[in-house]
Amino acid sequence: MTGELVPFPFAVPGMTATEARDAADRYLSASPGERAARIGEFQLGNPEALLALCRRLEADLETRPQDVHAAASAAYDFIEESAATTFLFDEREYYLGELALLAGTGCRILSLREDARRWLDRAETWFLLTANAGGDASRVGYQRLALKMEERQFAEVVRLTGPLAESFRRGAARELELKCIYLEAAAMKETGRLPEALVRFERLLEQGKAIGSARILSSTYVALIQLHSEMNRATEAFALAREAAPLLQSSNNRVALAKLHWGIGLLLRTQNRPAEAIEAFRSAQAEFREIDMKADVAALNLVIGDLLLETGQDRQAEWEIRAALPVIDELKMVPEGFAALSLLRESLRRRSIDRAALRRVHGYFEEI
Amino acid sequence: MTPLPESRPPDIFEVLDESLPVIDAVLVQFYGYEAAEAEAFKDTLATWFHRVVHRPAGRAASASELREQLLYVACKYARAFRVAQVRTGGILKDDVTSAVAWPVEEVAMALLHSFEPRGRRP
Repeated sequence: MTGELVPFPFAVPGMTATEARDAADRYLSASPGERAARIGEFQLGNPEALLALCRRLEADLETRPQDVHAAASAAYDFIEESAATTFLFDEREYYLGELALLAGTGCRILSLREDARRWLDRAETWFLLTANAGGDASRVGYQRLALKMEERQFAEVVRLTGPLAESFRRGAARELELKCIYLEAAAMKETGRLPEALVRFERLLEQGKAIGSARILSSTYVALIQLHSEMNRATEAFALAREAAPLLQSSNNRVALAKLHWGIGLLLRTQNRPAEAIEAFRSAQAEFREIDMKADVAALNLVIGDLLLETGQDRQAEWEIRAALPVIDELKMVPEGFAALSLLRESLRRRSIDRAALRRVHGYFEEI
Repeated sequence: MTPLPESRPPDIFEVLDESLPVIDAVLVQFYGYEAAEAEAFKDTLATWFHRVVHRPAGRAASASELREQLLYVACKYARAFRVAQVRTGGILKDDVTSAVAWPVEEVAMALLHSFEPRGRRP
């Protein structure tokens, strides 16, 4: 082993669970400026407080990803610079890894992909120094896989889900195992293997119910609704939407709720009900805007633009597309769709939108 | 201290209860710790372990995986503190040379085997 000059760590006086939760709440309710100014006062050097903080951040990922990113990265910076001697054995390395993983996951949800990669690299490096390096590195592996999914590397996703799911199965991490299977099914859906995807999603729904995972259920309901829409099975899609809505509302999973509206919009579009479809897309967009998921807001601008073109509302469509383009540039999205994006820009300049280019560009976003 | 998650079976306390005597033996007999030092070490280890079961990977881990982690961490840091004591002049190098020469993985594995019916010890 390295770093052998280790001072003996005596456990610091304990903190009750309530005190730890209060410390985490105080930190999370502070504004970013206040956090920076009073960072030393939030007891981030106490492992019990950090444990409570990490659990809160994990629970908030689907609801407030931007806040999770900000809070986790500020705590990470503090611990990295601090010379606190309150950590026992591998705790400093573990919490640095955990906070980096939370910050990276927040970035991934916000489509800040370069930042996500940087945080995931940090997480993996710290986790390698902990007692359960394999289990924690697998969790980083899952986030990398989800990132590949968002970058539309579907073949790679299908290839890697098997071994990663197996590593979670061996570690009895059932929810993470199911999340891997979800990604595999989603990659199949994106590559047109709809019947295979359908079988996997339906099985996932059952498995999600069996372990009582609101996260798995929310994402799977949304995927199934979209899939049934694509397969023109309106009755099944609407039935699932009715079944899913209360769960999504009660679990406050805003990402899934927004995606549910998106799925309903797709369904209404396939039913040739453009006005209602646009309304559903707008609801999804409002949810995404609330949680600062700019990439999805921009993607929906393009989807709505496409629908407006279909209904002969060319000028309104132009507004939608113009609203999306700066975000696409800012987040460096669709690098693979660069040619289509150029065509779209050119057609916008000529004020005669190239619909094929538009569809190719928003096709790069539509995976969820 | 944070209470156990509801989904966590109470067998983790058994892991700790069963492992601490074995750890005590390796600290005192193998690494040459004084009894009082070994007690302090075990207190610290128990506090650490109670927090480990709340980590996301720890929440799902089985009793045997947690035991493996506990024994590995005990050996890793028992050795590291001994090396540190030698370097700072706290103890003589000759007192611990043979113990710290053993890879911690092997020592931990031997302890793990001691939980089996015909186990072996370092």
